[in-house]
Amino acid sequence: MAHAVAHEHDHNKSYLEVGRSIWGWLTTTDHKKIGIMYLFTIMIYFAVGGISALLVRLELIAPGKTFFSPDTYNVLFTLHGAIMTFLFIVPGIPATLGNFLLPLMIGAKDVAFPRINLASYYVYLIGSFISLVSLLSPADTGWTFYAPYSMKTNGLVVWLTLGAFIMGFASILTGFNFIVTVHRMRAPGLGWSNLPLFVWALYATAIIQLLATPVVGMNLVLLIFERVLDIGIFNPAKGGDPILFEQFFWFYSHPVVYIMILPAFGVVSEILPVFSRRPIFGYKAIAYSSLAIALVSFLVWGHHLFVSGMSDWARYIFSFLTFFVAVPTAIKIFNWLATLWKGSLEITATPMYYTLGFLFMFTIAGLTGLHLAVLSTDVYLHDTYFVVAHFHYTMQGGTVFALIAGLHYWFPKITGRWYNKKVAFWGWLILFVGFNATFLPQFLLGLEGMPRRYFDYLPHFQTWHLVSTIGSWFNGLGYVIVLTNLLVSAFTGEKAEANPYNALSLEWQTSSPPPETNFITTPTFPASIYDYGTEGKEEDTSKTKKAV
Amino acid sequence: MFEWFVDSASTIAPQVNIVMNLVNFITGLAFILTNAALVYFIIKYRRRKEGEITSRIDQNHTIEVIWTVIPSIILTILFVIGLKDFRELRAAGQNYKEIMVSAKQWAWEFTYSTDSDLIQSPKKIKTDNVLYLEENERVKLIMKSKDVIHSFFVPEFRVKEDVVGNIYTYVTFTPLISQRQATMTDEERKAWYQITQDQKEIIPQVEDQCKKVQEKYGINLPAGTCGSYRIFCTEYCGKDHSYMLGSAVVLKKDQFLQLMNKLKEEQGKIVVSAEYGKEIYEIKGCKSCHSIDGSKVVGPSFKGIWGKPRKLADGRVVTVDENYITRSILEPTIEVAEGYPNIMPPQDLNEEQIQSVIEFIKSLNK
Repeated sequence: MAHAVAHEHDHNKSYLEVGRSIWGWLTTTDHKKIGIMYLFTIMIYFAVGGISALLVRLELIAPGKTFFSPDTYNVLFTLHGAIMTFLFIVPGIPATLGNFLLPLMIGAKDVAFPRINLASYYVYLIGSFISLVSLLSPADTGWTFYAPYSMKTNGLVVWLTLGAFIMGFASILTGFNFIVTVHRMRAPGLGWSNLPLFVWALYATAIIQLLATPVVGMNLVLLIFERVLDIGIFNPAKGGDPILFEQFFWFYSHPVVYIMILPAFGVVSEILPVFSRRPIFGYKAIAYSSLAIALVSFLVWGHHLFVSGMSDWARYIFSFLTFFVAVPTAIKIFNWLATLWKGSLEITATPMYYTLGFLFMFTIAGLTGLHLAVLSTDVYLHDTYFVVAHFHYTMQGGTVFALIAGLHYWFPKITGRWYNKKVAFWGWLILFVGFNATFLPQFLLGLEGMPRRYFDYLPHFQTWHLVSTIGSWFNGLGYVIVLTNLLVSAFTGEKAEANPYNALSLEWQTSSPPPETNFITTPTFPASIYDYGTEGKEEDTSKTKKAV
Repeated sequence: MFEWFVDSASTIAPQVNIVMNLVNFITGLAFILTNAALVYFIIKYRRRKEGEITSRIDQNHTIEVIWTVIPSIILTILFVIGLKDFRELRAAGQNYKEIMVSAKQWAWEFTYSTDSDLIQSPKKIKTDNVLYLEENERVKLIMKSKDVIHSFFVPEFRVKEDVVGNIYTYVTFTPLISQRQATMTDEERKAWYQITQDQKEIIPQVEDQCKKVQEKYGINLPAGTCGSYRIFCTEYCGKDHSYMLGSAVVLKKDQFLQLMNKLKEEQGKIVVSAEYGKEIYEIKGCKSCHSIDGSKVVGPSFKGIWGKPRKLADGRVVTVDENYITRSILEPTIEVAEGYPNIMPPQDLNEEQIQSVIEFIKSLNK
């Protein structure tokens, strides 16, 4: 494929060789460097959130007080939830891989507003620092800040929520930047129906970021007012309505689940066709179902309030709508499976077995959602470990697995080097086994009726708690291996070529790592960027367009 | 099978079991089919050599319509099935007894209706952390919180609903004595109600309450006349959320009436005493925040405070006497001790109970 290796001998400097000083990094407007700064920052927070999760699991190894006091335990699970949600997974894939790849994938030099992109990083960083000020007297509200407990408790709840409020602006800035970039910066001739599905996913995500984030911002500001000025919006002792807080909160925090998972869908849709050497099945269905999910996600928040005291009629309607967010998700899974059908699957490729692991875990995540959408079974399972297991299968088994699959897939592009493939495999295996050993038992605990956020539990729940805690050690160990491997390999790995997978999308049509301006010569792309599997056949040049 | 995980002790429980098993079956089947396809494709289509010919098919309207329509139909059916039982779960019907439930950090209080011919009492009967129910008698629990949000959950009854501060919420069900409770051997009972030594001090109310009813009230309970189930708080409510547990005890009609009369008697002849004050301290949730050994928990310790001056958050200094303690119980937000958070909810204790708490605090000076 001549066009794939056109820039092999490029003598232009890569983006990593330009502005190498610390100041150069901190003041860069290069979307690639901003993506990497985001990646490092969220990974540090991921480690902090992960350690607090391991401590939570450690306390639960046996009934009774084992290592911590109830107050410390409550702080630990709050830290875990708040850090993983606001500091890690909301910026997550869009701010890291999205930032790095979006302009490359559409043949642009940068995002539409490079300086706003940098501003988004600093807004995020400042917000995260402000929320960490709360560690001086940590909050114990849970990441959901439910009123009126969040009015009454002692910790620095205001700092934590103020930080989350500020980080919301980073999310909004990234979202609107991406929307403008996709609309205005595509290479000439690159139509909407030829965009990578990762771009579609980022676009749908950006819409949610733009529309939902202001609502949680408003809600958090009201909570701060309530705590500081005692005005009585949510506190029933002052005539307020605590369920109103839940409504506002989930109006954002349900769509935010799709901010987390849609980009993961995008990553999966990129990786599968490349390593199956066949066109993605149902391009349009996948692209439009992302938009459908973005839309329907705004209409289902009420399922978090099925036992809240909300009116019964609202419960019926939200249950019905919740089932309908499952349809586009199911369609995506079927499309991915159909992409494997009659392909040539390179199952030994690291990104591929991560993605196949994603498919396994995400079917569990999606299907267990149905137990929670059915009203009569949700009443039983609501706020039990079943829910905890369900959303960890979505967030960790889904989003984090896809993030790591994506990091491996684009690693040669980002660093110009290869990771150690053997270590990557063992890391994956330990991670996969550890994750499932941690969270499968939690489904069983939920079916037994074990409530969540419990510091202590009745002894008959112990068996599965013990298994889950032991699993969590392997889960943690897996991350240490995988992420250390990537970090070390970024400096010492073997050199990688520009397009090691013979991929067709535009980010592979430039050198690895790319030059600062992304492309030296005009990139070319085929009429369909998922037109895999034509190797060995004569190249049909009429199908190749040239971008200007 | 859902019944393997949890006992069924209400008339709606078997119906919920059927729905749960159906959902498990459908999702289990979908899981097996998709993952069987996944594994089959991985094995069958794994790459054996470079440059293999692969399928060019990237869309097929028929199959796409099929895999959109079939899940939609299945999901609609699931919605309808879930809705049907949910409506039954929420409908109290015509004949039911009301029980008022009051939740606070971290205790439950139950107030029974005493309009029955057989239980006539000038004062309403109240119990703490243990709910007594008559078998086969529909009840509606009308619930409100005194502070933060709690949630009432009894797995065996399959009911759950949040308990909120500004509105009354409810659960309704017809309790039964489950087959398992009726046929458990003594060893099995012991094993099921086994809790740790620490837990015995903090949450004695989750031990076998059938045994307790026999021992404390001398009511004879032959096999099959009593079932004791745990109540859980399922909405995070702070420090002792995981200890906000209770028991729901289901009794046959005869035994239930005997017990209610005993309770009426007991509550009628309560006398003011430090011992009763200690009991109030333990069952009304005071002990979660106030120690009696001088250590600081959430609020001030009770040890050695009687008659001593107490500095308030607004700078005033008051003496800890009958009036101060009474005000601190009934209107705790007005005179808050300096250095402590203003979070205690008002406690509705009656005159005897307040006096007993005062006697108890006095006794701690010795």
